[in-house]
Amino acid sequence: MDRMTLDYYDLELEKITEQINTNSYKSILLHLPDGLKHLANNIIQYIKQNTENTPEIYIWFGTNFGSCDIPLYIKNYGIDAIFTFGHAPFIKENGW
Amino acid sequence: MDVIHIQTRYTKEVIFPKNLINKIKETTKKQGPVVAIYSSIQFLHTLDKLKTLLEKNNIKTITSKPKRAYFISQILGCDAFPESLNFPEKTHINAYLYIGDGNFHPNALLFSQKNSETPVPVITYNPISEEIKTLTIKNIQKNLKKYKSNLAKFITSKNIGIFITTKHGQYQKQIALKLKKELKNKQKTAYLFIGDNFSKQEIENFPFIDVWINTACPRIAYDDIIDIKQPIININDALDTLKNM
Repeated sequence: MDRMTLDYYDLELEKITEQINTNSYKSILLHLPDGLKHLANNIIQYIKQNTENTPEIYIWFGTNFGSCDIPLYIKNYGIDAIFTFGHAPFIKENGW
Repeated sequence: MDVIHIQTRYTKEVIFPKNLINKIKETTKKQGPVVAIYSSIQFLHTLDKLKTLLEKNNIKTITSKPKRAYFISQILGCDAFPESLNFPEKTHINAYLYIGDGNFHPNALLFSQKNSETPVPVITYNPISEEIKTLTIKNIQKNLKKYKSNLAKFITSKNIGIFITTKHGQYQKQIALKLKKELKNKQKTAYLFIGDNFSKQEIENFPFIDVWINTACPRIAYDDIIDIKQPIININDALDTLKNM
């Protein structure tokens, strides 16, 4: 694991595996910002080692500029849950 | 489908240096220190400690919950307009203080002052590098100059491309259609574009467009314009400009 990033930022890996185990997700998406994408493999390894029935894990091959930028339409492709990193929920306003 | 947010909070202890206090006092000395404090989500939990320290050193602090943010004092990149910070009217500050890394969020605070006659500095403290910086409107002068030039081109241009993103939090079709109608009233021709990312490569595929109007993240028309030849402005400025034509 990249010790620097893991030591500096809380990736809540236990919360992720707890959510997976509790909800029995079959298919999940890891939605990572550029600064964390290099850890995708490490996160996947942790999930595999700590889940009872490991779901199919997809890594988002696109942007994560914030919670305004979550690919919600991915549900149409059979994803049960998106784990989106680096941001809190976004309060959308209509208009500018 | 569930969406679970992992905030990736910073886990190391943050100790705010004495130099930060000195920097704030030095920067605001003529007016007396009243600073508005914000941070990215990663460092939000450090602000209570910071606020106590500042007030102990006779530095008045204020903050707000910006319109689209989930937490008080959390700043987003799109907080590039004064009204998005949600301050009560006539709030007076001498400086912003941002805790976090990078210039992306502090630059939002600079862009929010682009029309101000008395912009204030943005002091930043990066807890990772322990670096203190002071940013001023001069740091974005190049962007503002280009933006002003883009606005001028919009006034005289005929073919206007309106970009709508499919990103759910930035999707603004209704206001795009409103602009299209306003453009027609001013004898301009509007073309509606819809896609995920507003990329330089795709812009080059449509050379018949004179000026692009961005309805997605406002930072596209502020930050990215330096490297893009084609004029881009934000939709709010387009609508305001048309009102005055």
